[in-house]
Amino acid sequence: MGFINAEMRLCDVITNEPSLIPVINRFGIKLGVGDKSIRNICAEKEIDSEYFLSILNTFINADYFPENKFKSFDAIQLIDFLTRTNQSCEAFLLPNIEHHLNSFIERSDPNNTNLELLRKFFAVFKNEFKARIKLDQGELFPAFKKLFNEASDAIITIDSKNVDADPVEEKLIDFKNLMIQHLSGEYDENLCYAVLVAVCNLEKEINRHNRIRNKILFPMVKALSFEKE
Amino acid sequence: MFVLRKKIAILSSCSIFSRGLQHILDEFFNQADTYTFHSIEELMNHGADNYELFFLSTENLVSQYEYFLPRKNRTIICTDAQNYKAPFHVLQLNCTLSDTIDNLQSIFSKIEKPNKNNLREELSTREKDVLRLIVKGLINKDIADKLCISLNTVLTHRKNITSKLGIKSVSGLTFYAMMNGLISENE
Repeated sequence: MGFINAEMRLCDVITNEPSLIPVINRFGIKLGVGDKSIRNICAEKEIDSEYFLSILNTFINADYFPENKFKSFDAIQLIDFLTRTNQSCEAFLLPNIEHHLNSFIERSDPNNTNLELLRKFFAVFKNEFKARIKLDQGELFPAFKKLFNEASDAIITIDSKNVDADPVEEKLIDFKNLMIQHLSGEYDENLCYAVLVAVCNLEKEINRHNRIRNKILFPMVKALSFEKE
Repeated sequence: MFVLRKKIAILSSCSIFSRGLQHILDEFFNQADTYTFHSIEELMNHGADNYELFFLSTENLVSQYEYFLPRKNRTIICTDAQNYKAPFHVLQLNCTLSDTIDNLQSIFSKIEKPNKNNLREELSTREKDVLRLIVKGLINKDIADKLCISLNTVLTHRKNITSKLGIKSVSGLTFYAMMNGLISENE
């Protein structure tokens, strides 16, 4: 779909891009949106419509990422959004893949040993992803919030080696490609498709999350730490 | 989706036309790297030889016939005229979107001759050797020493392995190697 603007009806946007439903939910907007425009819904929910539109447009358009606009938004607002994305990935998207993957393996040929290897590789990805979420939620984001609230003079150093090529995102893409390009033997095709759809949903979330986390939030934290130094 | 890996120049004084064509190429011919130019001077100043395919109107062709004739297999003339005869590929403009896509696909399939080497992207014996050492955790320099090849050759093998398999991470490569019997689970 094209670019979303404030005068569009949210119901039309959702109809065209159902993948936005979990994103919209993170702003406290539930389905049953009626025929109101985005501007009216944002006003009712006290959401900054510019910010809301930027999130929606960057989510659906891989090539659209207005870095300067994002840097003008409130950092705490960005952290809260990233926190909700992490929570959604951990509570829904990750278990969703696991659920489909387990059914897929159980209903496929038990002699196909490759499927068990896939399960093990997914476990490697899952552990690494959960560790990163734990780092964000337990250490980085609380420290960033303190910094932005000026309640801390602590200097935060961010390990920038994984900013451009995130190993978590890379592993998920590898997992997807292992299935698409290298799956062999007998298996349940329908459940295989369900796993892949769930993987693609998570991949999109992680990709969009990483852009805001690594290219907007981290540079904001670095700049502020530098000022306080 | 037809995947076209080409650097493309669209030359037209009409930006609505060039942007429209650029949009179609981006949307339906994934990975096409498309640039638009308003005039032949702009294209020449930008280094026309950097581009592998050219879309242009008949007026542009007339003014630069000598430049494009030796590049006729890489030049696509866009025209409304029916039965336009020229020693170039011709894209008819006055047709539906679906027909335009079909016509583009037909032109591209003439330009992109199927490469027999691309039909089956299997790893070579040497690439398999490199892969086994990667999954054992060896760094590039150690792999080079062990296989008596240069560091650059190791890097080339790694690049080819990732490109052929679509897998980048060491753990992904490890599971690929196990799934294909290149190493055992105990290794």
